[in-house]
Amino acid sequence: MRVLIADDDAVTTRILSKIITSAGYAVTVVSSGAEALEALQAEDPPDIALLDWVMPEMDGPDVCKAVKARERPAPTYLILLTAKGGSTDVIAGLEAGADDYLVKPVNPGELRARLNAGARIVQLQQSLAAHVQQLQDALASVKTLTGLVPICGYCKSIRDDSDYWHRVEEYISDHTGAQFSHGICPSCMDALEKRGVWHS
Amino acid sequence: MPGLLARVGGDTAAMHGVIALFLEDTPPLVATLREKLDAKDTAAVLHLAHALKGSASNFDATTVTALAKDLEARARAGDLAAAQSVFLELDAEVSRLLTSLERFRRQAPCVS
Repeated sequence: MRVLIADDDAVTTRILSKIITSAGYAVTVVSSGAEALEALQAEDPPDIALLDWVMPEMDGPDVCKAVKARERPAPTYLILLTAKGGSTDVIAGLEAGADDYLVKPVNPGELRARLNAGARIVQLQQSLAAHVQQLQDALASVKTLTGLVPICGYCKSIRDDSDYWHRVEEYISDHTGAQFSHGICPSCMDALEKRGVWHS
Repeated sequence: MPGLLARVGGDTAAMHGVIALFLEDTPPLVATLREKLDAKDTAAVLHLAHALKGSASNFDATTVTALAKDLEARARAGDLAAAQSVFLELDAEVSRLLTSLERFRRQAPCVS
C-alpha cells in the first residue's frame, strides 16, 4: 500500500518516512500542497495521504476539498497533520474532507495504528469498487425487456418497433437472451383431447 | 534524545540523520526569519515561525517550540514590534538547542 507525505519540513518528513516505511508501506514525499494535489489527482493516486495543515501554495484542508470534489470509486484516505490540536481545527479539517487527523509531533504508535485503520478502509473500498465494477460489467451484458409491449390479444404475437409481428418466444429470446423449451400445459392438453386432436 | 529515538522506532542512524537535517536546515531558516521580520513581511514570518515550531517539536525542545508559537501568534496579530522581541529570545534559544544537538552528535556517534 502506498502512502504520500506532504509537509514542507524536512525533519518531520524524515521522521514520518522512517515510521511509515518500517510499518511496511511504500512512501512518497512532496513538500507543497500543489504537489500533493497533483499526486492525488494522478491516474494512479496513493492509497493514503498525510497532509500537513500549513503548506506553501495550498494548505492541507484545501487539498482535501479539491480531492473530495472529484469522486472516485476508491478514494485516497486523507489524514491531516496539525500542530494546533484545537477542536475547532479538527472540525474544520474533517469538514474539508479529511478522513482522520494527527497532532504533531506525531506519536509513532498512534501513526501506525491510524495508518492501519486507514488501510483497512481503503482495502474495503477497493474491494467494493471492484465488486461494483464486476456487477456493472455483468449488467451491461444482460439484455432486458422493459416498457410497453404491443401484443395481439388472440394469437399473442408481439409487434416490434418496425411494425413486424413476431411469435412471443422469438421476441422474448431476441430481447432477453432467454431460451424456450416447448411443452403442453394440462389445461391445453384437456382442451385438445376434447377436440380429438390429442390422445394421452 | 529518548523522545526523538522513540519517534524513529529506536533506529540510531535515522535519529542522527534527523539531527543532521535539523542542524543543516535551521540556521538558514532563522536567518530568513530575521530578514523577513526586518522587511515586515508578516506572511513570511508567520510561515517560517510555524515551520520552526513543527520542526523543533520533534526534538522535544519545548522552549523553542513555545517561543516559535508565540512569534507565530504575534505575526498573526500583525504586531511585528512584539514579534521582534520574541524573535531575539527565540534566536538565543535556537542557538542553545543547536549547540546541544551538536554536542550530542559528537558524543554519541552514529552506530547503526
